[in-house]
Amino acid sequence: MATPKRSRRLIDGFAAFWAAPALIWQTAFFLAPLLVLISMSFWVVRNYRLTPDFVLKNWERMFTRDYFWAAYLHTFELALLVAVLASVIAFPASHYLAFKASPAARRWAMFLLITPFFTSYLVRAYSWKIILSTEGVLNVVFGWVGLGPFEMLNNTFGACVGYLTLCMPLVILIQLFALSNVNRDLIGAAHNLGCGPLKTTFTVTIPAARVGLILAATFAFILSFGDYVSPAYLGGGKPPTMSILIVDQTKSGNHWPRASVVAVTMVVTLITVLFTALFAAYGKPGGKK
Amino acid sequence: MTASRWQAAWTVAVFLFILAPIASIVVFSFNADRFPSLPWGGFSLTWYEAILTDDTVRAGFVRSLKVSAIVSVLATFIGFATAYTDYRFNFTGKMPYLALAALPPTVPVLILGLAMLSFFSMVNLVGTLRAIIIGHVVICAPFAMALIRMRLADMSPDIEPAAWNLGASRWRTIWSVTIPWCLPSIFAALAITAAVSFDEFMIAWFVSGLEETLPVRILALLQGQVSPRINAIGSIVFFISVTLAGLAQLLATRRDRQS
Amino acid sequence: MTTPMRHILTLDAVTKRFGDTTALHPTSFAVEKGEFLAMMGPSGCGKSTTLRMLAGLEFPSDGAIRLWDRDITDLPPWERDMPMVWQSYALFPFMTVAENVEFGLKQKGRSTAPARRKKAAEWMDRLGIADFARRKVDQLSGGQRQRVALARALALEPEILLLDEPLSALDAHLRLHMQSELKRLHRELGITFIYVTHSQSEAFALADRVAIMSEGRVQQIGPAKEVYRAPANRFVAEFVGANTIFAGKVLPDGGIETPLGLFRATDGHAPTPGRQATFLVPADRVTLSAAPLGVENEVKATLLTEEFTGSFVTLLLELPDGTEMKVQKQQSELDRLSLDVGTTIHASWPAEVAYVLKEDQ
Repeated sequence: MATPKRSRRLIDGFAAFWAAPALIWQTAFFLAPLLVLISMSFWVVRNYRLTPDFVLKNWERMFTRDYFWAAYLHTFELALLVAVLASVIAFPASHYLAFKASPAARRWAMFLLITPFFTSYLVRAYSWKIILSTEGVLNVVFGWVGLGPFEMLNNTFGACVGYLTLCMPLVILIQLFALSNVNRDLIGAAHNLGCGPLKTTFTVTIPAARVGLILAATFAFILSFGDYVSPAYLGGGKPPTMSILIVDQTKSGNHWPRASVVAVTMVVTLITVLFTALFAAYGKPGGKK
Repeated sequence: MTASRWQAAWTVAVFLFILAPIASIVVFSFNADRFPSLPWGGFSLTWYEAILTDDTVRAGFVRSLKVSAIVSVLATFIGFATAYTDYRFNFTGKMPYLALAALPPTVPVLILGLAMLSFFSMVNLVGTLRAIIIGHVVICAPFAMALIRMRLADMSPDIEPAAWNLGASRWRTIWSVTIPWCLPSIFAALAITAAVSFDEFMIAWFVSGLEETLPVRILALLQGQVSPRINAIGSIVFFISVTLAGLAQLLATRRDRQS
Repeated sequence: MTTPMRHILTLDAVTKRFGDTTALHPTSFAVEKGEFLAMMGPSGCGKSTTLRMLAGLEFPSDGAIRLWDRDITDLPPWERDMPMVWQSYALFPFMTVAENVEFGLKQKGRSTAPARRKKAAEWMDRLGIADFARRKVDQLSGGQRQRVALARALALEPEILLLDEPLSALDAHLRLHMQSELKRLHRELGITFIYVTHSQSEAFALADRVAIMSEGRVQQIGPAKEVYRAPANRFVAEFVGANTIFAGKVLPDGGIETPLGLFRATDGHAPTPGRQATFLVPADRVTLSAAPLGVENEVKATLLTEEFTGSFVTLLLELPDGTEMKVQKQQSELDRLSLDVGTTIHASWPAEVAYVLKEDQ
């Protein structure tokens, strides 16, 4: 005498209460604005007024201009350069913290790396601006030993210092995490087989930590690709990056649809880069584990 | 051995690079000279006095405090709700739901700023503190969610059922068991979201109009002459966000005595 | 069937499916008021699922659960008065011992704060944890936590107490101690205990009745002695106790022809001539001798291992066809046999201890 199968309450007020806030907020204020951004790239500006429409004019206009492609290429190159620089500069430090530093030193390092991540990047960029200026601390010190003054602002060097300030802590953290998860027996075994420390690092440690190292570089790329402060205030804004194009089009040009074209292009690029990197990190056929 | 030394020195240098701008800004905020550089021009509080009497800075500071206070409460509530949803329930569409909840910080703030500007201009919110608050909650809630979710992961799966079993409804269980358990992470989330909001300038710059927050004011000052006044503001901003971020880390990583 | 009113708890064709897998096939049994029922079986047998359905932490896919004559199948857990003692204790780590014990009383909201405190104090006293009342639970040992968990559940003064492997996290010494304490509590309180365990010794030592479960079915339910001496099927026979199982064809005169020879078994079900029959020989009823005794039910065997457990020795013998036979003996009985591993020996047993299982297994 089995009773009929009961259906469990499908809509549960309790569950809905906890699931709803993020769903509502992020749909209304994250997803919707992004959709508006995409649709706005097809709008027109008539008599200085933004008018909803569906034309490809903005896309044509941007994609046929040399300065757009120059900016795109420049931004891409800069971000790539920073990804490589950050990875190369960070690696010895991450390696040291992961394998040689004491646990207490490692904890302090983590603290020092996480804190800047949540403190004003703007103020740090400003600080570099005075340190690197012609009369700044660095050039004064160089002057004492009879060097300089060097031009360290309003060029690629200045921009890179800013980018590295932005992404270095995160790159070290991700690398450190990846290296900490490398099986130490593997390294011990390599040493045991007569593999020198440098060779072990390149043939054992780096392949073993590959996923994390690629992710770290990818995050450096993503952060730099979208950054406005470093190229504008430390790099001098010439040639402009994509981010500078957006700000110019929005703040002074007042041409939001064109800015949207730039923004959508950036988002598509970032998604492509992210997936390429994820594929390189995880999906490489025959890759070492 | 020497290789290790070199590597240690390199590590120290990298950390110096990370910390140099922070140290420099604080040190030179007390320098009497008009241009913050060497040689040292003598100790002075002039620049702090100057910003205290600057109305635009004061107004920006008050706005930033207001915004970050409201943002931290809203974002932490949403973060808790989302983390709890992930912990407790299984439903179809959970993956896209979590993606939507976690994704906002991965979009460059510049692009979010532009998107929100265009969106808010359609609903006449541009130029209000509400616009800044809404935008900041979007990027802060995922941080709160991550912190609280990590704490929930350490909660024994039997704890909530035990409370139900003893007669507490699900609502009462949240209040008397789940929230007390999550309390350290809730405080951490309040601190970290306040810090993120307090420092955020891109979304704020795009949507704030005349309602400048402190970072937006700094951005405006940055476009002008180098001035030690920015060092003074920067030092204060740093002090506040380092305190909040440090507090959050202490709360989030504090190990329980149990186990 | 007895009248429904006599049973405090009735399971009526209760079934639980998770997706495509069935955790519990339709299961019906009833529990008497004041009874100590142990549900026992290997992991994944459905015992914990059954307990969780009683607590309302899972809901049956089919069937009904009744408390007295009230259908509680779909009642949420907080509306049932069946506190549970958890394997993990599930104490609230941020509360003191006293706050933990008061928790249930507070939720029920039936009494004032001073009355609650008084009642909690009584139970802490009774379970010997009054000295720790103000401590946080993470400062307690496993045994103390177990007592807090018991006090927390019992403070509600329930009719039914659910226990989910409550002793499995304790060390052996403490487990025995808590076992007798549980037994004493059950006797003194006179309430119904429903106890889930994978430990046979716990179940048999504590319970009035034991339900042996396997693969989502109750294989047998009854007093421990009955389950031990008269297993309902081969699974129970193998799971419970130390038995050796033989199977063979039944001859017209009732003898059972097995690869090891002809045996007689007169306990249990009567074997049907011409059919297959399975019977078991309890390990503690076997006689060992160096030379054959020439009696019926005798086999030649080789000693494989000898396991010494206090006053008892468990011997593992290998029979000529490869079957392993378990024999339990007092150490004193073995001394005269001078056994070594590999020694050939003769084992025999009377026909009236060989228990024939019910057919169609």
